[in-house]
Amino acid sequence: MGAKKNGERLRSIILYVVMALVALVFLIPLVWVVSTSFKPMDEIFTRVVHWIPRKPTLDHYRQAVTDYPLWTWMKNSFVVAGANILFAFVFFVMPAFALAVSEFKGKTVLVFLMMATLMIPRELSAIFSYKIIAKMGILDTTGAVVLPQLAESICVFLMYNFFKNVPREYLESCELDGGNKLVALVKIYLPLSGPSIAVMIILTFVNSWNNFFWPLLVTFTEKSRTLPVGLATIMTSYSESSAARQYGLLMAISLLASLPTMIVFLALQKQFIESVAASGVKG
Amino acid sequence: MANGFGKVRIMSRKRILRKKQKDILFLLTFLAPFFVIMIIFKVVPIGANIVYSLQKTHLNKPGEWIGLKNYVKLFHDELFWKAMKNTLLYLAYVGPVNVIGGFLFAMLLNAKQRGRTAVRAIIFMPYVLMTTVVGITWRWILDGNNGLLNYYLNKIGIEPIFWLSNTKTAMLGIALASIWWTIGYNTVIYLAALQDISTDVVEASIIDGANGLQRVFHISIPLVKGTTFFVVLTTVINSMEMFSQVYVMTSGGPSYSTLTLVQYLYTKAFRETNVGYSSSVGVMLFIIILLMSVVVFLLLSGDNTAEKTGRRKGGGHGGKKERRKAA
Repeated sequence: MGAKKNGERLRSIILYVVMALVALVFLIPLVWVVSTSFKPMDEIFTRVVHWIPRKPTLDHYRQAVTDYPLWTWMKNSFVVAGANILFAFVFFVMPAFALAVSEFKGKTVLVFLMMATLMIPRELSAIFSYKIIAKMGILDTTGAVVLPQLAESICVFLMYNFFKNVPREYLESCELDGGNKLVALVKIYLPLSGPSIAVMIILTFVNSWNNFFWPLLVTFTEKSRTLPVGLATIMTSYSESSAARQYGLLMAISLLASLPTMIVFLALQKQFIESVAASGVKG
Repeated sequence: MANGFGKVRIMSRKRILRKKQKDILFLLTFLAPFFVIMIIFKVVPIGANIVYSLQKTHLNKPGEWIGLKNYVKLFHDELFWKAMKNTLLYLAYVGPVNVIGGFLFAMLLNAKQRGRTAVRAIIFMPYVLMTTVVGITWRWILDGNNGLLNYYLNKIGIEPIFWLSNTKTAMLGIALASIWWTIGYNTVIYLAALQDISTDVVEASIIDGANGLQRVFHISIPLVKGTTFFVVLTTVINSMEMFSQVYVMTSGGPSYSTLTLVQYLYTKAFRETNVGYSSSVGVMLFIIILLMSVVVFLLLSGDNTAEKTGRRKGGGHGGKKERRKAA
C-alpha cells in the first residue's frame, strides 16, 4: 500500500516538473518580448543576457506610438472584426438556419459548394476578388477587407451542424402559433445555441484579426491598413542588420499590438479554448 | 410527420400555393445574402483562376489563350520547383512535430494534475498572437549576434548560427516559430478528444492489466483516430499554404531558400502582374493539396463509425477483452 502511494507521489512530481518545463519553454519568447521592450539600447546588445532590465525605459513605447500609426491600424482591425461579427447574423446564422430547417431542390448543391470552398486554397480566389473590388472602386477601404471574409463558409457550417440537431417540433409549434421563420430563429433557435454562437463569434474574430494575405493585397495606406499588415510594413522596411538595431522598438510595438487580444484571451481563457476545441471536433 | 400530412390535407389549394410562395420568399431572403457573396467572391474567382491559368494575362489587360503553355513553363521553372521543395521541407519540419507533439502535450494535460488548465492556456496562448507579431518576435530570438537562442546554445558550446541568413537553417528557423505559434491548437483539439474517451474503457483496460504504454497504443491512439484525421488534414493544408511567416521573417531569402508556393503565387500576380502564370501556380497548389487530402483520408479515416460507438458505449472493446482472456 505504502509503495503504491509513493509511486503515485513520484508520478505526480514527474508530471509537475514536465508540465512546468513545457510551460517555461512556451513562455520564454513572450517574456523575452516584454523584457526587451523595456531595455535601453546598450542592454539589448550586450553579450550577457539578463532577463530583468537594469535601467528600464519607456523610450521604445514612446517612439512606437509617436512614429507609427499603431492606433489607426488597431482601430481598422477592430472595425473589420466588428463588422464581420455584426454581419454574422445575416451572413452566417440565417443561411445556416434556412439550410437546416428546410428541404428544397439544390440544397445538396449549396452544401457541396460550401464544402468545396473550404477545401480549395483561399489564395486561388484572390486575383479575381481583387479585380471585383477594384471595379467596385473600393480598393484601400475597410469595406474591401470585410467583404470577401463574409464569403467564408466555416461559420455557416458550424451553425448548420448545430441547427440540424434542434428538434423540428420547436419550429412547427412556433409556426402553429402564427410566428414566421424569423421569429422562430430569434425566439427559439438563438436562445438554444448560446455556446455555438460564442464559438462562431470567437472564430470570426480570430480569423479576421489574424487575416493577412487578403488585407495585404487591398490596403495601401493608413486609412485602411489593418494591424498585421501595418506591422509587416514596419518589419520589411528594415534589413536584417538595421532591424537588429531596432529590436527594442519592434518588441514594444509587438506588445502593444498584442495587448487587446491577450486581454480578451486571458479574461475568457476557458471559453476561448473550449470554443476552439469545439470547432475542431465539429468542423 | 403524420401531423404535418394531416395539416396539408385540410388546406385549400390557394393556401398551399400561398404557403409555397412564403417558403420560397423565406429561402430567398435567408440564403441569398451569403450565397450571392460566396458565389461572387469564391466560386466565380476560383473558376476565373482556372481560366486565367490557360491564358497569358496581366492584371488590367484582357488575356490571350495559350492552352497549357503556363503549365509547360511551370514544369521547367527552377524557382517553382524550389518553392515546392521548400514548402514540402517546411511541412516535413512542422507536420510531425505539430501532430505528434500536439498529441503528447494533450496526453500530458489529460493527466489529473493541478495546474493543468494554466499550462493548457500557456501552450495555447501564442496561437492568439498575429503571425506578424510571431514573425517579429522570432526574428529577434533567432538573431545571429544577439539572439536569445544563440546565447543559450553558446552556453552548451555551440557556435552562433545565423539562423535566418543561412540557406541551410532559414526554413528551420521559420518552422520553429510556426511550431511555437500553432502547436497549442492541435493540443487543445486532441485534449478535447481524449477527454471524450469514456472512463469505462480506461478502467476496463486497467482491470485487464494493461500498462500505461499499452493503454496509449491500444486505447488512446485508436480512439482519437477521427481527431487525428482532422488534425493531420488541417496541419497539411495550413503548412502547404504558409506565407505570412516567410513574408515577415525572410521575404523568401536568403537566395530563395525560404520561398514558398503561396509566396511565389503572390509575387507573380501582385509584384510582377503575371496573372496567368500565377494562376497556374495556384491550380498546381490546389491539385497537390487535393492529392494529399485524399492520401490522408485513405490512411486515417477508415473504420470511424465502429470507433465512435466504441467510444460512447465502451462496448467495442468487449471483444478484445474476451479474446485476451481466452488467450
